[in-house]
Amino acid sequence: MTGIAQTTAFSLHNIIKDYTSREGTAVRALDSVSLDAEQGRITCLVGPTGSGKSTILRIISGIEEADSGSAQISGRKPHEFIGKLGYLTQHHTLLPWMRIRDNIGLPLDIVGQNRETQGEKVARICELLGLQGTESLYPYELSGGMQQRAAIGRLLAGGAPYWLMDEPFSALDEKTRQRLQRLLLQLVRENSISALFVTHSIDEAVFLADRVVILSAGPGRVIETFDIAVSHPRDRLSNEYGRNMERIRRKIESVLSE
Amino acid sequence: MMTLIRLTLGFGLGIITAVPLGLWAGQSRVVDRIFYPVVQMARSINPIVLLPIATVIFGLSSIASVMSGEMEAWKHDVWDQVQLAMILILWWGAFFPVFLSTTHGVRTVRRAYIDTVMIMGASKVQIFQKVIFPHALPFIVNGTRIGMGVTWLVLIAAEIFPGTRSGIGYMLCTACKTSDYQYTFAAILVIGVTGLIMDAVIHRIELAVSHWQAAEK
Repeated sequence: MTGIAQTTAFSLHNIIKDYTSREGTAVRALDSVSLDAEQGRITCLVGPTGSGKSTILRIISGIEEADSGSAQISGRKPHEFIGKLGYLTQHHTLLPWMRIRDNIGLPLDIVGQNRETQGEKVARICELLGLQGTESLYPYELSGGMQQRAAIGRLLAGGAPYWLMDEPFSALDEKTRQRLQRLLLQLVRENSISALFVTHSIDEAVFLADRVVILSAGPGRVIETFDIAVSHPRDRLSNEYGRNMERIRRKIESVLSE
Repeated sequence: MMTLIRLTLGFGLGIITAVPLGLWAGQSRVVDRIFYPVVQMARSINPIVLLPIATVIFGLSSIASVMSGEMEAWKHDVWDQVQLAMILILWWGAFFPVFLSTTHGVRTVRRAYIDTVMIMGASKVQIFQKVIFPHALPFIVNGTRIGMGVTWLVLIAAEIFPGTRSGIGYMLCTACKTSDYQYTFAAILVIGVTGLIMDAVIHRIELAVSHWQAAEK
């Protein structure tokens, strides 16, 4: 890590969030969750089901509000970042009635950019992401991996510097997933993107993250945060990689057996 | 053909009113609550039932009588054959299927799609243009197809009623009365084939706008 002080991209401070269950009782989803994610880095949230990982993303994106505590992006309120956030989910939300070309260009269309610059930009993105030839297809005509690629393309087109990613690769096969992980690392570096990445795969976290936040379930709490200071691309077969995997696995296991 | 002119007018009017109202009711809970009882009650009333009362209200007035008064109406030979009572019941037949599918189409949009474009900074108008309307379109066309079937049935029946001097239903009725059965069967065949052709055309449109739905669960 460099000696220059990193600025914070996403920060949560003492977030509490309750849900009302069907029986009417309050269920705590997040219990004073605090975390910081640095600018230009990937921060992974790892934890079992029910640890409120997705809720954290929804609160940071401003779609949902916390019951108490504060959520900030770059020191400002989330709702000021409408149009400057990219959101990627496990099931892509490409609009099924639009061709890939129009889906990728959608953020540009919404801000009113003219057709010509839009077309150029979309073509460039398709080339970069290996989506040439799919421009005039519809999302359902593409494989899962290609659909996620197109969804990433749409984030790039939007030019948002903050990406919230909710298990975007978990429905893909191993090979496709690894390919997209490498692609993500490349894009984050080239476009200085700050990403908050939710996953339940320890391997994915160790491969991608500069910082890993481990959460416990029911209610969601931060049990440990640590940095992985290994340069990218990381070698999955190295000893250090194995040690980091081990470290997280132990931590999660100790929480689960409590 | 008088029958087709009547159909186009009555049915067209049905769609023109049902689509905007349906889009509106689909997006607003309040509007929907107000419309619901009225629509459900009205749609249970077979439009043919309304023809006698509509004839009492409008008499034999036609579009021509609205255009240039009752006395001069006969001068417009085509428009004088498009009776207001008939337009009303055709509208009645077309409106409800189209209205109901439109509201359904609006209401079943996945929340995730709306969230996605909202995060991109889309305005209300853009959300409508990019998400709500394209999602509702196949439902609208499907409603149109059902409505067309209903309207076609209603129209032929209405043409058999007194006060009409043209149209396929009138021809059929007249042929039957004069025991010209060849002509009668020909008319029945024409009704059937026309129904088939119209449905096939709308079905084509439906396929073109709904291809993406197969991928939606």
